Amino acid sequence: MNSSPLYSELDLVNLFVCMCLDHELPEIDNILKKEGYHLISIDRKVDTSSGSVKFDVLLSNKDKNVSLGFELKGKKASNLEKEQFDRYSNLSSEEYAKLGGVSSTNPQFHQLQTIIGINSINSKKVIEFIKKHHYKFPILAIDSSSITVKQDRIVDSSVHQHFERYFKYQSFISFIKFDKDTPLIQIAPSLITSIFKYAQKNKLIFTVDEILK
Amino acid sequence: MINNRSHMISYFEDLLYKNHDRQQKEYKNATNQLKTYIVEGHLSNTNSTKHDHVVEHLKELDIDKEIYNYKVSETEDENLIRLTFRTGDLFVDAMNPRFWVIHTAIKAEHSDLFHIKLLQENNMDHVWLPIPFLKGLKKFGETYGLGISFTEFLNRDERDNRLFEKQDTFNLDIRRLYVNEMLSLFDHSELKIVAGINKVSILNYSEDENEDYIIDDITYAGKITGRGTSFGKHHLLTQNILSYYEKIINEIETKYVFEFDLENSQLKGIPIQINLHRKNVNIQKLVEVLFSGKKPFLLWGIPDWRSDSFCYVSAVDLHVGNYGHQIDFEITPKSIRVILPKDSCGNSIARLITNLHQSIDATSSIKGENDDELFTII
Repeated sequence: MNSSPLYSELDLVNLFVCMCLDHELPEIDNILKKEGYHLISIDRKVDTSSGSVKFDVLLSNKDKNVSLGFELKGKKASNLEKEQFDRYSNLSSEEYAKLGGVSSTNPQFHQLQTIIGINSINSKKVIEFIKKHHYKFPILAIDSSSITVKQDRIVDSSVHQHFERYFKYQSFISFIKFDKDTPLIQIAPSLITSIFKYAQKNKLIFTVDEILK
Repeated sequence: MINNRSHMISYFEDLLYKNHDRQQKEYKNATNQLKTYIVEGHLSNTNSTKHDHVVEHLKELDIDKEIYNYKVSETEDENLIRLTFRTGDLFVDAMNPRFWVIHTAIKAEHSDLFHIKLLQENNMDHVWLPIPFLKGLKKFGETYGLGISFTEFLNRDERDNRLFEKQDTFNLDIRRLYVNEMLSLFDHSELKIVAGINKVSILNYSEDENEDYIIDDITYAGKITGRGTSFGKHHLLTQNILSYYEKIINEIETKYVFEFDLENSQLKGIPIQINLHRKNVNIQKLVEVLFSGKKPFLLWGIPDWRSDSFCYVSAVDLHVGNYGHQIDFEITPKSIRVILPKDSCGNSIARLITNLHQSIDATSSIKGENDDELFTII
């Protein structure tokens, strides 16, 4: 549940993770899982011929031979970069299918689509940016209770239908606690709790990875 | 000398008959009543065999040996350990590697102390039987009695903490008659939120020529006191409680924990939803009581207030502190949602809901998949 008027990138990641859960939550339908999508990676950097790409969330459907790469712009979407969007635009689906950790039995016909996720308040700004540079990316406009698709169609038509009709939700669970943009003051309680946890086990030496687990 | 399971059963059968006889003829209650305790242990991460580490564990308990001197002996049955006190024997049945059953007829003063000392070890706990579970025990006999208690935490103030020792706000014991009437009275009253059922008495009676019977008092802490003539019926009830309880705990630990399934690229797990039905819950106070690290909840975490009515806490469970697991909670005035990580101990959830019933809201319900009540056994 998040009462902030503008979601951060981390919030948006957690929102999409909840839509991929094995079990539906009462407050948010796991429509992406129901449509056959599996969570392949979060924030994984993949080197390709068009440069390195790093989708915030990558989902893939083996049966449909489709992957959806989400580029999520949180808060005021102030980091729209042509260079980044050019890389997504020029990305070869076949190449990504081979390099991105996707399970595809037929990479040659694999479809990879980049979808932009934003706070709905930024829709006008982002659509203008997309149109100006002639990109063909669907945009998912997200507010605190619904998600709507704008601009272009999602290649998976049944996924598109869910968002065409204002996908409603109430809240989501924040499975991922922090990212590179999380202020230290928000990370500190988690770290203190982790340290306390290890102290209970008389474990006085631990790695950064262990502390962040 | 009782040296195996069969002898133990005969011993307790005799004891029950003698106690029953004495009660019938002399109208005196026995001082050596049959008591059974169900405890949970996490000893499996040692290198010794199960038998050896149970024996070793029992020998090393920090108990005043001057006053409560006991000797630990093995029996012919490798899962049955005998502790010989001055006043009698206590038997630890560790056939179930995780949940031990302890039978004894020594004085409650000694057996309760032993129980307390055993549970002071970081890797031991008793079972926690929440209200739906206790109510469901009527499937094994007739409800013969009920115990109700409640310790108010949310409405305590500084004066209470300073002047008055912590004690039950509410304490009631009902025997045989009027149990159902009393339950009905509570159900239709605002007082239902403090009707923390802490004990049920179940009568199991055979209408055959033997007229064997047992009245078992079962507390939420897994202590079962038996009066009657049939150890067999007492033993059966104990095993049924253990079996149902273990099944629920295992279900929590397999179905409800969150983990990423690498093979299927899927995040599996189901959050556990606890609904509070008490009105006007002070959420700040609730969070303070739950996550202070103190008893009865034994959870410690730093509250992350997302709004006035929503708090997120990643808490360390001090019950399984040796395992170092954190549990995530989302708290509102009407609900507590629990997100359990992989390898969590399901007993922690049983403890949480039982303590909520005893000190926050006796009407709170704990739901899992399909909105099913997790701890119901009916």
